[in-house]
Amino acid sequence: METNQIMPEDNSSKPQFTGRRLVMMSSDASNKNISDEANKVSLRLAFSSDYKNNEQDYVQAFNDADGIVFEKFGVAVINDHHKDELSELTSAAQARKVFLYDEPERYLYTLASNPLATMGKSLWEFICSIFGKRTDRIPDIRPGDPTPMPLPDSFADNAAYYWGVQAVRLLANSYSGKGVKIAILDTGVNETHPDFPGRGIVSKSFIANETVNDLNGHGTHCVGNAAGYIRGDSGIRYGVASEASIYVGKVLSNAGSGSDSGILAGMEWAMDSGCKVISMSLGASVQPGQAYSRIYNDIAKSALEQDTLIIAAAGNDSRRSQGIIQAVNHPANCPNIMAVAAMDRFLKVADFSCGSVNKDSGQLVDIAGPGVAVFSSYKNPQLYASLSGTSMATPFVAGVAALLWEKNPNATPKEIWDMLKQQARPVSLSIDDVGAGLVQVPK
Amino acid sequence: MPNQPVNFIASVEPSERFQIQAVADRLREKGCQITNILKITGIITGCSSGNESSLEELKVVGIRYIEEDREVGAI
Repeated sequence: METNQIMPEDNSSKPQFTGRRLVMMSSDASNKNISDEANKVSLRLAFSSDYKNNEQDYVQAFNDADGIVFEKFGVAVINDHHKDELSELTSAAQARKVFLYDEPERYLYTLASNPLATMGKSLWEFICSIFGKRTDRIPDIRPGDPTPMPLPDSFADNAAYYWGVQAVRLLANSYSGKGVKIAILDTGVNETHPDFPGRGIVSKSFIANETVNDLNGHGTHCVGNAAGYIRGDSGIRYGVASEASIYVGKVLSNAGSGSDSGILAGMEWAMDSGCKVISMSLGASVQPGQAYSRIYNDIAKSALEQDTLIIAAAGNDSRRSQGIIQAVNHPANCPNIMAVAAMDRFLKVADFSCGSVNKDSGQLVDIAGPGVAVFSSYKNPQLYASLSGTSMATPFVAGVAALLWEKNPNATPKEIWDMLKQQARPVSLSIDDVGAGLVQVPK
Repeated sequence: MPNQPVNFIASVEPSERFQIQAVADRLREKGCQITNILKITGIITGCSSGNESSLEELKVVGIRYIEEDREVGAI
């Protein structure tokens, strides 16, 4: 061994948890909401905004109160020995709308031997040092940098949000897609569904002898995740762009099938209607070596150069547990159409999700979305269903695209494409399987 | 080689889109039935006569690409 060789630190014997709890707060909760609910269980919370930008003040605040709320992150750090109070807050009917869920605070250690490696720095101190005085003991984090908070490695449906909208980080989002038109080309929409009152859905059927009313359910499910809001009977959120303008083109029959000619007609209608986003949870299998449609790709290229981003499902033909990975489906395999893979709530690629088998000809997976056991609206009489497929992942990307367009109204479709990919959450999976990673809403 | 009528989608050259009807007429002269003309995206959809050995024979003046009209499903 070289005498100047640096060996990696072994952190396995060091403590993992500090004893404190990190609590995710609802993005809709005001400081008063938080205080009121905390007071009911005799929990005293301080707010970071009340203190000077100085690390010692935060330390004092934490010592004076039972915890501190970091409004910028929507996270509270609660001192230890308050397990019962926290349990009550995350389970009580009213309080759990404010205090969403909690997890243990972890110690963080550097991963290589250096002068900092012997310091186990708890997460809350790290956050304090971001708000407060910078020292040479901490990494150079600028205020505008993305949050250093570790993101969850898994998600679960809870009392306020289904897992899919949690995974795309909708909790911290302030945008709704207002003013942005999204087209969902699918099996139509359940025209009597109670969750879309006042949305003014514009629709057209491209299927002979069938109305837009969705007797299949697939289309309604996609509409719900792309542009829905909350489940009416429980208030649990499942939709992304809750104020986007919804355009539904029925290009698939109630049996779930259609043709290129009908889909192209739907695409033209959507573009002519001014839709900025077209979401297509449909496809046909593609063989290794098979070319993509130049007709679709030309249309998508022209759309990208003008006003519309086209997003499509990568396909469900794979059986990864059996070693089978199939190619991205038509039309998502077109280089100018954003292809969406599916991930599960543990942020693993879905077993069925197609991959970039034909990548030499540009037929790539571009991004991924929640696509396993995804809750959304459905046909009558069920009204709701939990479905799996790259079809489910695609509307999440479409919804986030609408949010990005609300935030950046002058952006071109190509710029929105780039933002979606640049702002995606990287995951430890192959780019061939998930592209840029898990789609994330804009902050 | 197909000798049954084949449903197709065809894109029109950008330079010809202002006279897309004329392009469609040329396809009709080849025995095609035209089912739709999408003027904004420059697409003609229809069904061949079945007399061609391949869809490529239907690349009349003004047609950029012609492909089979595939069946697609919800996924």
